[in-house]
Amino acid sequence: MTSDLIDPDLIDPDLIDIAALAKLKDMIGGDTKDLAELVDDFVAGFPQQIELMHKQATDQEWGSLRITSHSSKSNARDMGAASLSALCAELELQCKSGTPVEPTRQIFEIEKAGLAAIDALKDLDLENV
Amino acid sequence: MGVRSRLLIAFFGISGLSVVIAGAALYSFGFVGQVLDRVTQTRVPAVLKTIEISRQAERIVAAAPALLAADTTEERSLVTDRIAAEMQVLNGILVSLSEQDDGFEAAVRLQPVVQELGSNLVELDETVSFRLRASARGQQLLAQLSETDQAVQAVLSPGTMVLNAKFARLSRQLEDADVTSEDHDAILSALTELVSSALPLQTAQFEAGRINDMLVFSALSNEIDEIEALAFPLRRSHQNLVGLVEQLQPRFRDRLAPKAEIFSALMAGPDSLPITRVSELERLADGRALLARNTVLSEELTAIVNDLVTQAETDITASSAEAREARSIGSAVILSITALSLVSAGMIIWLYVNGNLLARITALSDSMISISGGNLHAALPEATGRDEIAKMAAALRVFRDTAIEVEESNLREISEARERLSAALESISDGIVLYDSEDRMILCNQTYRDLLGPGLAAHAVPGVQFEDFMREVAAKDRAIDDDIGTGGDGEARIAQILLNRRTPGRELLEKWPRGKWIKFTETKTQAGGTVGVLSDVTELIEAKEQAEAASEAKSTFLASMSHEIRTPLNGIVGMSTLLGGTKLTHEQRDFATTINEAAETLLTIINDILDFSKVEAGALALENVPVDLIVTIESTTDMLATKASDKGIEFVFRIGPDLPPAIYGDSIRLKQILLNLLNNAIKFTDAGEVVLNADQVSDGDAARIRLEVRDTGIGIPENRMDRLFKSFSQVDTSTTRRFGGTGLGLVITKRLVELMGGEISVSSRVGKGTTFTIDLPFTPAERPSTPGMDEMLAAVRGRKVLVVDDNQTNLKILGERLRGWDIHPELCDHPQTALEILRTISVDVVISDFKMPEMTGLDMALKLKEQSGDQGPPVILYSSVSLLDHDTRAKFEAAGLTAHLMKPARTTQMLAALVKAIDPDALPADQSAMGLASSWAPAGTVLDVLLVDDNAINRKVALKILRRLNIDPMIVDNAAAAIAACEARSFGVVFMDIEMPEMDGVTATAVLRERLEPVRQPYIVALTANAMTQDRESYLRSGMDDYLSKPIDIDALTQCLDRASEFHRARASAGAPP
Repeated sequence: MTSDLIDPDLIDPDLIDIAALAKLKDMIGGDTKDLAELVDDFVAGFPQQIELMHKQATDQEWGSLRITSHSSKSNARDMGAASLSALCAELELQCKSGTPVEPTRQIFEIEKAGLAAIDALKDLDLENV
Repeated sequence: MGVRSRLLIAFFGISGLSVVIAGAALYSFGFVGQVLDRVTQTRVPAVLKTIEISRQAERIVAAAPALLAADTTEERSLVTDRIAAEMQVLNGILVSLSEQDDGFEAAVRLQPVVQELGSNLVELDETVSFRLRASARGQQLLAQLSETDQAVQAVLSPGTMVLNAKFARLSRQLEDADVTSEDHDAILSALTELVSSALPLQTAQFEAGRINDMLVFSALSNEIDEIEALAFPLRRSHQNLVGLVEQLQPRFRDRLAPKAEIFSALMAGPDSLPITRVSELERLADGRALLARNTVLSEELTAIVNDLVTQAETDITASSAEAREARSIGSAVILSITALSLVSAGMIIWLYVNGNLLARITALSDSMISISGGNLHAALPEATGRDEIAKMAAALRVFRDTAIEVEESNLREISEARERLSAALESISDGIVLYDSEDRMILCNQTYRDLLGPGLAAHAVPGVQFEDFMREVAAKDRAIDDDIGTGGDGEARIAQILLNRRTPGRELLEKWPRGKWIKFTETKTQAGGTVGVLSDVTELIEAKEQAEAASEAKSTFLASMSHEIRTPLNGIVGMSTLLGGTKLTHEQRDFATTINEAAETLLTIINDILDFSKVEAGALALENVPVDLIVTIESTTDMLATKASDKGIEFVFRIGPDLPPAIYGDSIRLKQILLNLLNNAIKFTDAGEVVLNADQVSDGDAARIRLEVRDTGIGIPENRMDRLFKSFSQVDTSTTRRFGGTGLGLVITKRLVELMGGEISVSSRVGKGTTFTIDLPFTPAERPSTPGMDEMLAAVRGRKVLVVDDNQTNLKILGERLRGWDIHPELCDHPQTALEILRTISVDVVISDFKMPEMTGLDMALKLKEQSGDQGPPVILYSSVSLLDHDTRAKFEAAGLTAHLMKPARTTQMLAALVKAIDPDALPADQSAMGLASSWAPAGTVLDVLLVDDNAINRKVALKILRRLNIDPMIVDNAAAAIAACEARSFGVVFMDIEMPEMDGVTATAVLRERLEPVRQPYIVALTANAMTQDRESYLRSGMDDYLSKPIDIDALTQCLDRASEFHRARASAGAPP
């Protein structure tokens, strides 16, 4: 680990719930490399998820948007990205009830929260999680 | 006499004169040619030969001094040979000259000189030869002289040296001051005695040296006089030497006397040094004289040649004068006869052609022009005489009389036709106007005038120019525009009209003043005229605008309504599905199923309508992103495989070798097109096969993708084909009743294809089947690489595979696919034949269809095991049916099948199954990422675990956690694959994600519960991030056994697995097989 990495204790719990991330690490066997692999997958896959959400919203495919936001919520929970997970859950619920109120704005907020979480995760000292 | 005979006589007369002219010209040219030949072929070559002789002689004369200067015999031979060769050439030229015309005389003059030159050269050669011999002898004598001189000096020198030493010693004693007088006298006496004894010796030495010097001088001198002058001194010195030798002591005398004799021989006599040298110098002088004579001879030759050249020049000048004279005479003769010919021709033309023929023909021509110009009553020339012109005049008269009769008849018919045409034109509801080829109006009907209005109608009169008339129209328009305040640019309008006029055949629609819509069509006639048709389409246009507005409103309404209806319908579908999963009475389940099916149907219809209205309203925008064609096709066929299997029909697809792997486009809409066509094909086919063929075709310059969906269904009658692509239209109403559907699918498909820039076509035979063909333009894109693919391809490359299938289409497609992987396929359409083949040849793998006549693929695999034991090749079962009951399952394991694939298998599934059979180590580690997981089913235990999740991260998390528990699950990424996997093998536990696209986990569970026998039912665990209690309960109600929330808790997972084990133990103890 290099000194550039962020100490987990300094991370805003609304951004990344370190306890949740630590639980994930514990579940998969405590290997930092395995955790880093999952974090990398999350970082790499997030832009495609956002792109897919925008497309589904444009096509008014609320059923598909519900599944995508559900999937994103699940990944965000794994990573301890609490705010992101909450925003995804809200969109999922609205899709389930019918038509979301402001899907485009909501997806932008999800994107913003997701990018913040990714920034935090990328620099996080996973060894000490 | 006729015109032809007269003209023939004139022709022969003029031709005769021309022949005379040609004769004179030929004679003149011939004479001049002879003179030139004489000069160029006889005189000039002879002169050139003489010049050549002169030059050759000069070359020889120039080479001769080198012969005289030769110092050795070899040198002399070389020069002699060269001169002999040159002489031979010279003699050759002389002979050649003597053989030429005009050359003999010159050769006679040159021959004596050349002959003398030759003799001189022979003589020179002999002289040089003698000189060289004399020179060589002189060298030998000089050597003898030198030897003799050295011998003489060798005898005399020691004696003189001793005497000199004694003389020096005595001289020193005499000069000594202490010497006594007695001694002094004694010394003087000794000195006197010494001098008297030494003098002859020293003198002899001097004379011998002198003789040697003079002989050497005579041997080297170039002057004969000098050599002769030395004879006397030599003789005197020799006599002195002989005399002195006689005086010397015997020891000197005996040795010197023979040497003196040798000196004598070298001095005089024929072989003496002086005589030899004189002979050499005399030969040298002779040679120089011969060279001088040669030079004189060469000059004589040059003089003779100059004389000959001068003579030749004189002759050539004379010949030229002769030729000029002959040319002058010839020219005068030709000019005279030509003048005579011209005069004769002029007279013939003037007197006969102009005076007789032309005058009559001109008269005849004038009459013809008048008649052709319409003047049938023009005067005709009299048909006098009996020649051809007279006959033409008579014929013209007959023709004119006939034409007058025809004209009268035509005028009557034209008049009648005009009346009929006028009546017809007036009866037409459109305005008609006809212009001639010069754009002058011929006629127009009343409707035309009415459409123009009273102001312009007055100008629409026959004869008016089109452009002038249009200016009137423009002026009128401008007045109206001014009136109504719209303004207008008249010149621009006229320019546009005239431009349009140049491209006839166009249909123009214009809004005329006062709101009239006029359609104007112009057509060119064969005669270059123009027919214009004006139609008042104001009512049609208004109706069209109203219809379009109504259609747009309808589309907007439909889009809105469809969306509003779809939302609650989704609820009905979902809830009825959930309801179906609860405990219901038979009647209640029947109701729930009906509700579900009706809602599904309604949802399909609404979706179709929504798509249709989007297309109609122009609101459908296509994406343009990279599309993996093979994945798109395979995922589409995956979705329909079960449906085809349920109907018991073969469902196969073929990916052509040239199909680009990826293109730019809209994968969702492409899939929609394929789904529509394949759904229809399966829907309307009860037996046989449905084949999707995807390939690239070239049509001229552009390559296109061709997607072909062929079925063996009910087909479409010829007279119903036109309804296929029309909205809300099926082949007939009974079709709708029997097969359902809105009739919008094909319309949407067609519109989507057109939006993509492609074309769709259909061919069909009733009772035989239908083929839909789609051609799409494309831009290739880069296909993402599939990890592990290269390794798998390497593992199967070059292997031999036996394919057994009774369906020829399947055989053909599978064979092509295997060849594409560099596999050698053996194709066989009968299982018994396949068993026989396997007795004789060895293959790496057998791929067998399941359902075949007489024997199933499974039975064939069992027989193969009996036949070959464990040595037999691995067998992959490739079936269009997915039902494997317990017995079949037992057979499956007994036969030791390597894999079971559902038709149509994905490319990667088929490849992975082959790799598993041939080289399992080459299989990629992450098979789920390749969509391979459902492709094979190794025999498993009761607690084999299947993990189903569409989310890659979730799959990875679950895999890592399960591996901590030493569980290596099979992983799939969609519900359809999960169903296929569970049908293919038994799983102890299925961890089923709930929220998945295309089919969710609840629905998949319902399918599994319905399809699998109780003994094969897995323990299904809902795996979802929906953490609410009511969710959990709803999953359990829908047929799931357990629930695990995400993120997964390892303790909860362990407990869940414990419950699963308990479940299976309980079922086993109840009597069911594990």
